[in-house]
Amino acid sequence: MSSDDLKTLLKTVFTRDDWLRLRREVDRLEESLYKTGDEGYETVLENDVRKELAEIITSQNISKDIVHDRLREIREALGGVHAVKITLAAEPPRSLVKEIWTWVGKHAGEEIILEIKINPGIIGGALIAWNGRYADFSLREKWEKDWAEKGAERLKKWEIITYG
Amino acid sequence: MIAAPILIIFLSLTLGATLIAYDRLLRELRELKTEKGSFEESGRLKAAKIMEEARDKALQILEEAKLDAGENQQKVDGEMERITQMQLDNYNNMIQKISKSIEDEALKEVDEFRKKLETDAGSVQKTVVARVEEDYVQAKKQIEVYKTERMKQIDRQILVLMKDVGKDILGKTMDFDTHRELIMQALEEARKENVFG
Repeated sequence: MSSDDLKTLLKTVFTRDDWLRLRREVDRLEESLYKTGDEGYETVLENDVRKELAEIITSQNISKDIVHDRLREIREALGGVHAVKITLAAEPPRSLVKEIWTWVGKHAGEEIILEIKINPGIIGGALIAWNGRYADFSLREKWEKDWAEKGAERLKKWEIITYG
Repeated sequence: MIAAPILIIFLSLTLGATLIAYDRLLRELRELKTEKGSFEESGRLKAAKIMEEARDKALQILEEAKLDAGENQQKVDGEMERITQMQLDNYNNMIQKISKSIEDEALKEVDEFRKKLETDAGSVQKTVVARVEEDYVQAKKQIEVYKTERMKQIDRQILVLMKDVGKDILGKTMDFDTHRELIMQALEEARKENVFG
């Protein structure tokens, strides 16, 4: 199994959920190695794991011991992935997730996954936490700054009365 | 003739006897005068003595009277004190009786008042509670109506306000492309601030 094979596989892993699913598939394959029937290796390989994983495993006619080693390598590769925590205002479509993952991976310089949380309260933009650094680029933050500067004027303009 | 000398003798004898008697009377008179003077002197002395004795007696009586008066004053004072104390005691007793009477009367009235209150409290409380509940429900309805209207008004204003603010911040309304743009913009800002560095 080449490093390109691993990279190809890891390119299917954008988020923490993807990472967990792949880990479960690896674990399931490993467990199935010495089983037969519905729980057996061939059945699991054909039905229960993603195509990219199955292709890596079956790219050559290999023994189960080698499969075991490859699964270990995959598990180690997954262990080296770092999570970027990102909070968004709404659930992003898969295409946007991939776009974000690609962008962050490019600039972070490491194998990363996105740990996405949804908080509609931030309105828009994103909160980002990475390697102990944190930044709020949400619309809420911009809104609050704007409100601090112009809020009173806006309330006065729209005659919203507050009661103490 | 014989008779004349006899008569003369007789007359002489009679005269002599008269003179003797007269002399004796004179002596007696002198004695009496002397005795009278002595008696008078004696009387004066006696009177003076009596007067002196009377004065001494009077003084004695006065002294005794003074002593008696002191004793009497003490007796009177003691008696007065006793009477005063007795009256004071009587007064205190009377006051205590009156106080007790007033207290008993007051307690009785309070007790009666309390019983009456307890009797009346139930109905009064029910009336008050009913009235309060009625007012409360009415007030609550009014508040709810006002609240609803006010919230609608505020919601309308907030929507306009948000749109206004959103436009000021974004320059346009929010849609998917705007969300995407904001996210990518946030990533770019993060990069510039070396969040990924």
